[in-house]
Amino acid sequence: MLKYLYIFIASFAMFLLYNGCKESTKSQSTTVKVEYEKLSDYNFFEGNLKDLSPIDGVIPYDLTTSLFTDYAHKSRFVKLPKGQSAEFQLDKVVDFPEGTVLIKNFFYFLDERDHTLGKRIIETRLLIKKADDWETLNYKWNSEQTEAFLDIIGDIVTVDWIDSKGQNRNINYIIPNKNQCRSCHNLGGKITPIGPKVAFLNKDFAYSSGLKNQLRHWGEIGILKGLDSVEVLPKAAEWGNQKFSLHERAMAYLDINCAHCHNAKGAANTSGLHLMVNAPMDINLGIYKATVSAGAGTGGHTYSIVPGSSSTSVMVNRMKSTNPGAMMPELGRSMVHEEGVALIAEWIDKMDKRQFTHLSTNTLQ
Amino acid sequence: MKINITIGFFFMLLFANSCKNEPKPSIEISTTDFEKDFQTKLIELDSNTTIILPVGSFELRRSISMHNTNGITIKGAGKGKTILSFANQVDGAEGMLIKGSKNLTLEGFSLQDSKGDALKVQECTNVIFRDIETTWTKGKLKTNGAYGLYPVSCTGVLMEDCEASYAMDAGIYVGQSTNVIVRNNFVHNNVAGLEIENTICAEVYNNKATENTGGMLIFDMPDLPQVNGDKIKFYNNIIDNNNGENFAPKGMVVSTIPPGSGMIIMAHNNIEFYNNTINNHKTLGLAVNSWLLTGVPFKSKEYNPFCNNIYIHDNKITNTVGVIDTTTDFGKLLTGVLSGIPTDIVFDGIFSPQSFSESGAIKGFCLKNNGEVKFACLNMYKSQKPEEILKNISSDASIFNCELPKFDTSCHDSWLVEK
Repeated sequence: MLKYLYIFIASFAMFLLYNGCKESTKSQSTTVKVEYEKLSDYNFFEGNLKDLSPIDGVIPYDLTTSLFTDYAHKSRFVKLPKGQSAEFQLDKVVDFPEGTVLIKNFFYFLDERDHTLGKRIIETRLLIKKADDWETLNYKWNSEQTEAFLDIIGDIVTVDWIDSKGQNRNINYIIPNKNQCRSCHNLGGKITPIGPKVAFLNKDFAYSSGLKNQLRHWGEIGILKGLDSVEVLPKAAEWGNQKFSLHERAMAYLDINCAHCHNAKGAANTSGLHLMVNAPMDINLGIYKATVSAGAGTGGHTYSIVPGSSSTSVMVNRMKSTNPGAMMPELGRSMVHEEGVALIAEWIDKMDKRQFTHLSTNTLQ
Repeated sequence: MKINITIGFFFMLLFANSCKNEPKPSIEISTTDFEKDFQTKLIELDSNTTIILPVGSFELRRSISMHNTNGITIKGAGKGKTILSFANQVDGAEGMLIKGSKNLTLEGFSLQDSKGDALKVQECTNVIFRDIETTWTKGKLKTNGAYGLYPVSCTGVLMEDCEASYAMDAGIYVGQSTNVIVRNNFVHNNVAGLEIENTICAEVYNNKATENTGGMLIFDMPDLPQVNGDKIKFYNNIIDNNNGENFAPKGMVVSTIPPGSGMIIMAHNNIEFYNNTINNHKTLGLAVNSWLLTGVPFKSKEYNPFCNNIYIHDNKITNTVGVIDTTTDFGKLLTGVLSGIPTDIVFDGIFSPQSFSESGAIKGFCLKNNGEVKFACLNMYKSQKPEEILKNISSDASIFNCELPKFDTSCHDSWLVEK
């Protein structure tokens, strides 16, 4: 009897020994890994791959305002597992079911003045929903534009095009590596999509069946639930559309370009600067907020936003920089978004500084 | 029976030692395709691995990063022997970025000329920096990166035998972290040599700072996720000849540091500063200030902008001589109110209302056994106007001759016992 007890103890000790040092927080999903070497293996598109013609069930979508990526165009698609649907969430990214794929293609028209001259697709980024996290997968297109291959390490590729003014443009386009994908798609340590928030999806899209609001369309085809009870859907402004107020456009622009890091759970929470679309007009939005670790990004200035003075606001200085050690966003661009800078500069210049005097003085004075 | 006990004991012993004895698998990074191989390994590898960096100097064009992988050791051949050069960097806001990892050891390599911060370690737990060097090789330029060694929002940090130079903010910057030891490091030719900021429970000892603008700093900044830094023991450090020009761009907090500043304490709670040597500074040996002196506004209600419980004893502060800096606001103020004479210990004297006892005496600031020192308290709680400061200034250190109770910083011992 005693013998069995010792065998048991010994086995238990071995078990402990085996498990005692195991430590892994790399997200181990219980789902089958769906990760292909080639983009075509997913069968998202039919016909020539470069035409990006989606098969049934791969739904194109667009955002009211999108992240600036060196003037690249983006075509987006979402694919949900058959028969499943996402849940509506106010002020958040739509709650997609496990197995959902978000597909984003980055491309340049060879000549912005005449799109029929063709385009060059650089990369296709996938976000695949796992049990409680998302997987980032990046596919780099070949020069023949016949296929895109899985590439976790990223690359620097030269891209030429002619812009809408007829100017030749040439850049070193940076395809992010897998960790850089995580850097931006990170919310409280979990990988999270940035774009498909209800407020940013709330716009019309030209479907083959006609023009329709994206959210309502998603509801009708059964991939989005919980909309019925919502009468007024939140809407983030289209940053270039003058129908929206300057403030609305600026806040939408800051949200989609900055808030994935600049929120209380994001990578830039150490700065205390929060740039969500609904952020109040106070110090955490940058108004008379001294920078903490802006480094060369200060450009010699003290505050992120000085109402009435874009030229002395650190925020604008960092948007105008292309020095990796000074610019904002830190990743994803090597060019200045001139129109975006103009928008934020105008917004700051038109702030009435008398409204913010309570933020500009410290308690002793 | 005896055998059975032996067997049981044997297994218990095995169990107890299994974590220590199990060697981590190690992989070596290729010398021919260093950047790609290193980054690929940091993306793909499993937890509990040692990555060996070979001897040599390697050019990197992009920031190197690792996220959420635990138990990783990255080990080079030694600082100055394994060199990662970012002189031609085109991507990424830091040389190396490590986020969300536990039980991390970084050892034996140099990082040079990154466009932004050199080595940022964010939201990690139990991190060792050992024999790491960060530097910029083109001299004191405002285009250098801001921070050299940069742990932020970490719990459990041991930094030792490192060297940090030519950062245009702080060579070593420990920010918003908890349970920290910084020892035996050498910081030189930075704007701030070594800075402990918004950090709770730290011991900083046996470090040397020279030829920086300001040698060493303990700051607490407002409107950050972790405010109200607390419990810092700062001892046996050598702070010598920090008279370097301030090459930080205006707008950065460190751009306000007067060249020739040995040690500056700002807005902090519970500091024991002792057995340090502060020598050869042209503006000040040691300053104790409030955040309010910066004039920069803040919003956070929980933030305390004042110093409290600052105990400065048994330090050697010598040879504070020269021409006081006049390039910064603080330098100009000191020049004006001190007739241009450098001071060993200066308090801005912006005291919290809570710092006064019922009798009107100031509590929470003690100076003891610091030898013969030139002392000035500007008493700026009364007024911040220079002409008024001239009337209110006091050079009598005897009212601060007191002792403060010791506080406990053993909170970091648990994970450090085996290191």
